[in-house]
Amino acid sequence: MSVSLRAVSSVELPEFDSEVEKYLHDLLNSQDISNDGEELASLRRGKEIVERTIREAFPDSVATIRIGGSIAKDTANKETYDLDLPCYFPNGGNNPGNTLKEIYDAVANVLGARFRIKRKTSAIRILSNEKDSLDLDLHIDVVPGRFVDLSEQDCFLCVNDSDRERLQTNLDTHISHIKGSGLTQVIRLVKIWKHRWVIDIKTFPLELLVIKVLDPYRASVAGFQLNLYVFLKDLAETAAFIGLEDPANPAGNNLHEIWNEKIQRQIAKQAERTLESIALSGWKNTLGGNPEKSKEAKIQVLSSISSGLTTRNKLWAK
Amino acid sequence: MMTPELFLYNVVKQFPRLDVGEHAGKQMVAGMIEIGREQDIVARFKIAIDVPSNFPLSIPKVYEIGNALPKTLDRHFMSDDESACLFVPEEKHKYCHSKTSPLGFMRGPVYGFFFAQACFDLTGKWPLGERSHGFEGIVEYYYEAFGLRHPASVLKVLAVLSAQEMKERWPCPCGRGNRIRSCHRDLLLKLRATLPTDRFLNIAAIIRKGIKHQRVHGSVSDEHQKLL
Repeated sequence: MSVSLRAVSSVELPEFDSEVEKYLHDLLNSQDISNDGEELASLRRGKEIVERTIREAFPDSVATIRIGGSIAKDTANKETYDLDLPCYFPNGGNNPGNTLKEIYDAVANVLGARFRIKRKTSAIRILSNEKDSLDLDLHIDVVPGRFVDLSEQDCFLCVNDSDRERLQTNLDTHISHIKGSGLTQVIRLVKIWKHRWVIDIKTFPLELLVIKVLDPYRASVAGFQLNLYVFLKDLAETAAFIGLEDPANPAGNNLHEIWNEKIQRQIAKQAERTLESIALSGWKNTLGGNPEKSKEAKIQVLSSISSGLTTRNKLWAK
Repeated sequence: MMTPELFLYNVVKQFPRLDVGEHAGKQMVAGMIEIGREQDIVARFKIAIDVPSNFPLSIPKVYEIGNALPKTLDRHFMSDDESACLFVPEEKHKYCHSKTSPLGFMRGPVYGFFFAQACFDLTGKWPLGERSHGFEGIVEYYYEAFGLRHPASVLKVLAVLSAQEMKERWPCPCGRGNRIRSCHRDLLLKLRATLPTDRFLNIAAIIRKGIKHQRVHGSVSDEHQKLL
């Protein structure tokens, strides 16, 4: 269990800038995944195919397959969206295996026979919609697990390539912890920062970090600009002292693999660099513009920079 | 001696989203390369660069690690290690020579590669041109560089390139009738300086076998493609 050794620091706040606030609002809007949009439609189609594949392979087992992750938590962004598909088998009954590893392998084998997949620590990434297709990533992670008991609340997941064999979690607890924080939009902005600055940290601890850092400032800090600033400043100065706990299993799940001294040092350095960039070049140049351009507008941008290329290397491959 | 840290130091001002980190068990320069103008970023690619200690004598390997691009020959990734194929080795003297700086390398062939990928994603066309895969691409280079049309004439170029010593008074292998010293002297010298003799001998051997096979069967065999 991790213990917080950090004192709540008081951060000197910059002056509120309505233009910056508007920019951040617009940035968020540009990253919305709308219910009618192609992204969600594509994910739903993918979910249907994956779900059908699993159910046809294990007709005697009643798996609970539901949408999890950022889509369920309302923290999804267009430029980095993923669909987490927890696939939890009941405690007892006709499961694809007796152990968590057997269940994981059975699901991976079934999916691997149909799709191009990549095995991860607890999830199975679906990389294409057909085995031999070289289409791009489908953005779907299937997470096989087994409910702890008949109440079907907590769940065990298999953990590959780790000292521990399993972890206990609760999807609803995670979802309500994030959604109930009131900070989902700030989390989305932080995820945009993570993507555009290539911050090497998993999304899960990052979400917990946002809530842990900003919760004490709830009464005194409002708006995206100030919340983001406080988050970055606190991270830059005190990341090493921030302890994180898994809300679904605070006593049982050690988050050291995804939140440790090395990650703390790196993220503190990157937060510092980001603040320097904001001070020098402003928020828009630091976080980047609104990517929602038309295809024609993007082609125009590329045409305009084409003459400035320093080399015109013809691509090859062997 | 070049290190990832030194390479980064030289490029980070222009490529601020890069850092030194671990990828595939090695320390590499990794991060995001953005294609576009300052506030008009059209595409972002997550990359990792394996910087050799003798850069620029050796060409860094560049990987796209964000899974935004299919790692296929058609998208110009090597089939063995999925590294980006920035140019044919014969063009090393243009894009990664003794005076190439880390920033020159990043702004040049690396940016060019991902610029081309962003263009292809939008238009289906390669704005900087592309070479055929494998051996055919190599031969295309010689055709283009020396104004040739037939594999047999490439053999003459390769004979000069693989000679122990090149005499500038020899007829230029391009076939225009001039001597080397007043024709393709510089290019021939650069190629000889940048690539090992064995390479030219191997390419020549493949061409000879290919010509023979073509006489008999009417096309270049797969085996000859693989020999490269």
